[in-house]
Amino acid sequence: MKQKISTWLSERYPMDQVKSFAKKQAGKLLPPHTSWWHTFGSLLIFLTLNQIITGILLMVYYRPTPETAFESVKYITTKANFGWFIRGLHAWGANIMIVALIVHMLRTYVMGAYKKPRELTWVLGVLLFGTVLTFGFTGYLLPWNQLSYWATVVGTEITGAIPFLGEGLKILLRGGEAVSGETLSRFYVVHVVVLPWVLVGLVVMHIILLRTQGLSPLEPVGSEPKLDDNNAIRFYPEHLAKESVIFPIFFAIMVAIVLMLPVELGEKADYFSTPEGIKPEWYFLPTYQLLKYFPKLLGIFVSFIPMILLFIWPFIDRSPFRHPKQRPVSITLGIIALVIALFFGMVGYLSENTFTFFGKKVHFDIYGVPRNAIIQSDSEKHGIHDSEKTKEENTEKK
Amino acid sequence: MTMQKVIYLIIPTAVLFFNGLVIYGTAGHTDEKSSCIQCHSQQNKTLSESIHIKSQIKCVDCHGGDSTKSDKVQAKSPQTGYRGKIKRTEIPKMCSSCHSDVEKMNPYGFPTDQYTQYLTSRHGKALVSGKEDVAVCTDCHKHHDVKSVKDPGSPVFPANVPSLCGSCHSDFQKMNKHDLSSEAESKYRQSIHADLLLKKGDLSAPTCSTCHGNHGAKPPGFKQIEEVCGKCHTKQKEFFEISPHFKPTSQGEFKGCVTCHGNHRIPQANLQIFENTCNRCHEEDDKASKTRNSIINLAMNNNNYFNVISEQLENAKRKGFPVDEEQVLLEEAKTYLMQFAPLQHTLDILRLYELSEQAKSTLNKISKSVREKEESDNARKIIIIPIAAFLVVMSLGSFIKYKQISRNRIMHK
Amino acid sequence: MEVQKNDPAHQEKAKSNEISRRHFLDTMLKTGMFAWVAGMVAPAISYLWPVRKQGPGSDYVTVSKVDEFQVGTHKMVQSGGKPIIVIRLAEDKYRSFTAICTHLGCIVNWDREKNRIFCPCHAGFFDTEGKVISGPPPQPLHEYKVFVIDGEVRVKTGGGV
Repeated sequence: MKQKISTWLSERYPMDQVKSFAKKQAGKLLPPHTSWWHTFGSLLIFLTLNQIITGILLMVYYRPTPETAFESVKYITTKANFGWFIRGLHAWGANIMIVALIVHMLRTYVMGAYKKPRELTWVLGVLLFGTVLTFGFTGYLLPWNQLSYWATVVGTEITGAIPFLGEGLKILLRGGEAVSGETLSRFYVVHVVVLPWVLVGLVVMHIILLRTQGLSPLEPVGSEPKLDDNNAIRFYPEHLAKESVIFPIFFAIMVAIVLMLPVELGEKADYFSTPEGIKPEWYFLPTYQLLKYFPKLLGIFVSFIPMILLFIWPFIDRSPFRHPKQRPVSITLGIIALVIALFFGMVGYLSENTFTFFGKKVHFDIYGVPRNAIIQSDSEKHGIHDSEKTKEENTEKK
Repeated sequence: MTMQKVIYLIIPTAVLFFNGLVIYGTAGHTDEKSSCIQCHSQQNKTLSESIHIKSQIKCVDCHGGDSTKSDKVQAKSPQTGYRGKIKRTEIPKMCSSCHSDVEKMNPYGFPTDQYTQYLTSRHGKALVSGKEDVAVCTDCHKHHDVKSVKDPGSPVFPANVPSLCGSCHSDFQKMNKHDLSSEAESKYRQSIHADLLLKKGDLSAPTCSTCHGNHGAKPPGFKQIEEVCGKCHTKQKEFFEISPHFKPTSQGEFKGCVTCHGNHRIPQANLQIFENTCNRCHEEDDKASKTRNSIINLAMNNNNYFNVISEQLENAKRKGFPVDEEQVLLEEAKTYLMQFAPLQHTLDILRLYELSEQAKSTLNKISKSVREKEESDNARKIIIIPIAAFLVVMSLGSFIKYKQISRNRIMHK
Repeated sequence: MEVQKNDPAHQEKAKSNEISRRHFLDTMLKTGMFAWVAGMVAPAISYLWPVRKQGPGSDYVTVSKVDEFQVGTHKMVQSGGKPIIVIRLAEDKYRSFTAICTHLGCIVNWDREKNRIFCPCHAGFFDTEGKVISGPPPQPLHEYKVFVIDGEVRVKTGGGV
């Protein structure tokens, strides 16, 4: 019987070819320095799968209109069985995905893996980074709560400053003059139909390039050693085993965050009241903060520089060396860029917020300049704003 | 262009043109057979908006004369009963000739007592006594363009009444002559009633005439104040009547509502009233002051507790807990607390305490149920321990496997 | 190297130990993977299963959104097959009564002009508090509490208070 089925199948399905292809791919040799850091690429595939599956599940109950979006998310969070968990996995999964992406890119940068002939793999990777950020931007609006609504208002407003095209682009993004039901519906389409295919397409190209060119060695361009059984690591089973060590850990972290820090429902979007201190998601904070210091047009230009640099970096840095020790300039520049991003991200986080350091209340203004909150409240908030002050104190206590 | 086409064009155009003529000819000509308008076209214009003209009341019905005669002298000859401009002192009487006629007013469902009421009013009495500078019908309702009370453009539309009364009563010189205050309107405009009527457009909120009457306009006496306010504030009235203040009020020793709430400038009632007004009559430290303090404390505690619980609920809602049931309970608690203010008029601390307890127990219910939900959510978090343990074991297992594979490979070599 | 020095029997034993350990590890990882997948599929299926149980909110009937309910108008809803009339008297003043006339059980209606509820069958009239103004009805209309929650007008049909 078994024999019969397999002959029937083999006559109709190229079983042997598929098998040999899979075997060849599985046995692919990796350079000897392939480390734990190299597991982040496949971790990203795992996280993408998580986003796709939880995303499909969320779509079952989600309804993208201004009247129903918030309510349907509320239904998912409060009524549907495990809805809170699936929403949590999707929302936190997105954040963890961006963390993993940044680690993956840093690894590639430090190990010089973008050098010839792998420049295009890097460019595809940067495109993927942009795609994932767009995923984040469009997905943030969908719960249709106050924070998501106003973050989108601010986010789309910025595009309006682009010369010539800006205003048109803004209207195109919003589907009208203001962020409305039209915006929600096109963000939804982009989030669940357009971007997934873009992402899958880019990922496939990225992986095809990786598989055909192999993982980058650490030796300089032109003097790569030939990989053989003696000096290389097999993808299967060694590297895969490594990955299966990392996956459960990351998944545990994700589940822990989902359980410990449930995603809030927030308040339903209100066109007529802007909440205070509207900020984008953390991964947009450095750019957001940077934009504040420049006039609109210049700000857009300045914030585009890092993205452009990322794109063309493999064509700028054309030294043959790959090992970080042989590339002090590149590494220093990378560290500086990272520090700048972290700094602006931090300032962005602090700005328009009040914190208590060593018992002293410090308010950071829009530019992130610390001011003594107590002095300010004495001089500016006389009498009338007393209730506001107590409100602040209340939140402080929490 | 063929002849036929031309005709097709001409006929509709002609029809339109003549239609236009007919419409133009009748527009505004509300009393088209009348000869009055040949000279008095200005009056006719305002008349076209009048509620009277819609009911076929003609010039001659008020002014006398014969509108069928085109000759001025004939039309105004004494035989026609021509009266011309009506004297101020005669206006009320003239209006009442129809408006006090039950048979005439019945089809419209109008009351017929305006004139009788007017005669009892300060305005009417003054007019009868020979003063002419008091309001007569036309001062409020206008002469020719009399409009329905329901018409927002009418001066007697509720929201327009304060300005209407104020047109005389805010005039210092006019009021001074009669020894009256000219501040009523400006004071009223600062009141909660004006806020509701003029800013929020709530037509059920009182305007001048709601308390003072319209045709029988006069200030209510102190004994009637309670009835006047009680027309709308029924609960307050009911509770006030069982309070210790009621007896002196009915004996005329206490002015009732206005003592604490004021008259024209009535602010939104709040606890401040207790603090500012009780001590006008009561000594600090006496029994009344103690009751007052208890009420203030009770009310403040209620509100504070309500705020605390509603914030707790708001937080839970934002976090995504299902709190529909609790929200309804909060509304119930709010209903209790809304009864608190009217009940204060009893000055009965026991009843107030009872009501507060009801509100409190509802609020406690909310708090308890929200807390339970949060706790069960915390319990849910414990599940992370077995999940994490399982995943760590999986990871460790994979790590051992990895080591085995690496060792094997080295051995193999 | 050391392994080779040992006697063959010991060597054999060690090898079989090694193999059984490996076998155990493989089984454990395989079972673990299976449990992992099953553990993820179960909540997903449970999530897809429609929620059919009646929540605690079933004591309430949702009438409409606040902005879809004009002041001065009324709406009819039903709870457990019984009609209920809801009237919006003012911005934040709602009244709700059973719509069944206490006289002979006709369905009452709202007369906006006259600000009263009327029964078309035998000219029974009720005021905005449900009390009988005139006509044959022997009793006032039973009143329900109305709440505005999350921008929705709801009538409490069950429970105490």
